[in-house]
Amino acid sequence: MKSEEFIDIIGDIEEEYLIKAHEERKIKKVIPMKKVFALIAAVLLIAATSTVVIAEVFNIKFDDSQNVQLYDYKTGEKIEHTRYNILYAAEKIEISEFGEEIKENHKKLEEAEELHHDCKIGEECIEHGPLSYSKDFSVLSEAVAYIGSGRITLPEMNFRTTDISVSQTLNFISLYYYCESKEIDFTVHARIEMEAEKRWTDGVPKMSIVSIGEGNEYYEEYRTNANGIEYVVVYKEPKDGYFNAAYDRNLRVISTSVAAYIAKNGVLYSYNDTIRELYNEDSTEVDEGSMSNICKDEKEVVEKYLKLWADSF
Amino acid sequence: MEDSKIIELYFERSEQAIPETEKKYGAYCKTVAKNILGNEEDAEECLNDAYLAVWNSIPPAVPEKLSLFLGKIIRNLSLNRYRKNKTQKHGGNETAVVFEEIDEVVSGNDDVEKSYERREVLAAMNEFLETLTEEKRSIFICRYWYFDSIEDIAKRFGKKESGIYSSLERTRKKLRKYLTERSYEI
Repeated sequence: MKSEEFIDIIGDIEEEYLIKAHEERKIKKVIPMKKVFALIAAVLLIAATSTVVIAEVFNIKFDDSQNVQLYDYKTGEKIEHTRYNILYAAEKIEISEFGEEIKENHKKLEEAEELHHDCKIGEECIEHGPLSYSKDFSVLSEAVAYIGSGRITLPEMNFRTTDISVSQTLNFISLYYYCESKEIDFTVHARIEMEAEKRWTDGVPKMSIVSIGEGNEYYEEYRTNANGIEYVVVYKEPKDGYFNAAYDRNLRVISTSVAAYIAKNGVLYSYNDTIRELYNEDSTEVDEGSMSNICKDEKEVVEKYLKLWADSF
Repeated sequence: MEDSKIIELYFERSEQAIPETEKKYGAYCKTVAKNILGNEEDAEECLNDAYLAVWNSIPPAVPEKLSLFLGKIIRNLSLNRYRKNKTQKHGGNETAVVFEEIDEVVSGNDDVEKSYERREVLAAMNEFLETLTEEKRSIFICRYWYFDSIEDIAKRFGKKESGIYSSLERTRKKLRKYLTERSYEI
């Protein structure tokens, strides 16, 4: 059938659908979701800190091990990291001594985007491979690769512990500013978390679809670890072996998307230290620059990796 | 003016019917024509043809929803004009992109052995649309029925253009799969 003929057929679809679409066409939703989320986050922050000026909520310190720690500005108490307050902390760091490094990262992201501009997931991206700035930057380049292909993913920081390394934080901040400059929605993962939270509260079926806008649908699967703790796994395309992140009941991230994006042909595309360790146990083929050709069975690898994390709670 | 009153004017053969139609639905029809044709002049001509077609259709036709009745007429007329323009190689760039997108769903061949009844494909198409969320369905219709630009759709649905591209791409893939599974290898 020719496309013109098919377009003619579309012209005769049920009027009921046309009426609904027509109504949508009359409504102009001009508020980008990003702004809505930013607004909600700001309101929540204000509510949580009452009279405290937002700009003075946190103090950021780097300890001797080069870890980032947030402290309450007023009480001096340690604050457990969340995605929101890390984002906020990012603004402070940007104007600090690390400003130049962030700018440099930004430049590298631009280069990565150019390289991966026409990539499709699991195909050309793999040929290009993660850019070899450093192992931390493979995280960023992966994110940009997806951005370039019209898909977005973000480097998941491991917020399971209270300490985040300086380089991780800088990467995170760099990507945040990069996304902002490209008008890319950085709240995707935050939305998953919010959605997951709601679902924990409401009670949900074993498997459900989480629609987080932007044309993305994620699939949740609820599981229990070896210690009886429940957690949720968020998949992007279950049948292809992609999975996005996993959260425990308190929404702490217990796995990372960057560590677990598996390409369709079974080649591991990105990695971090944790998954590197995992592979070291299984293979002697690991080298610094590439993890290619190590994954023989993506599903098995993902599952093993996920279970290790989940059972550590 | 209410649709029913406008339709009454057509039945009375009152010349006021057309200005009233234009007043209420002129902008809407012109947008559809312009989306498809990509230029003001052709859109205007199609609009005039559409009013004439409506005048000739009512009576006997009694449209339940005048906007959709007009929309279908203007869409068909504009697509015909687009095809004519295409042979003369001008206009309608956005429409060419829409056709390219639809090429992903269809084979592009006129295979006699696999020529299905149009109404069967239409029925399958309607069933498929039913499986989509309301938002995805509306995005699909805005693009492939109204020929709205990605930019316009993104604004209307409060999303980024990349999100709309992504949504449409997924829907096209699902549609192709849906039809193929039902042996409509169109």
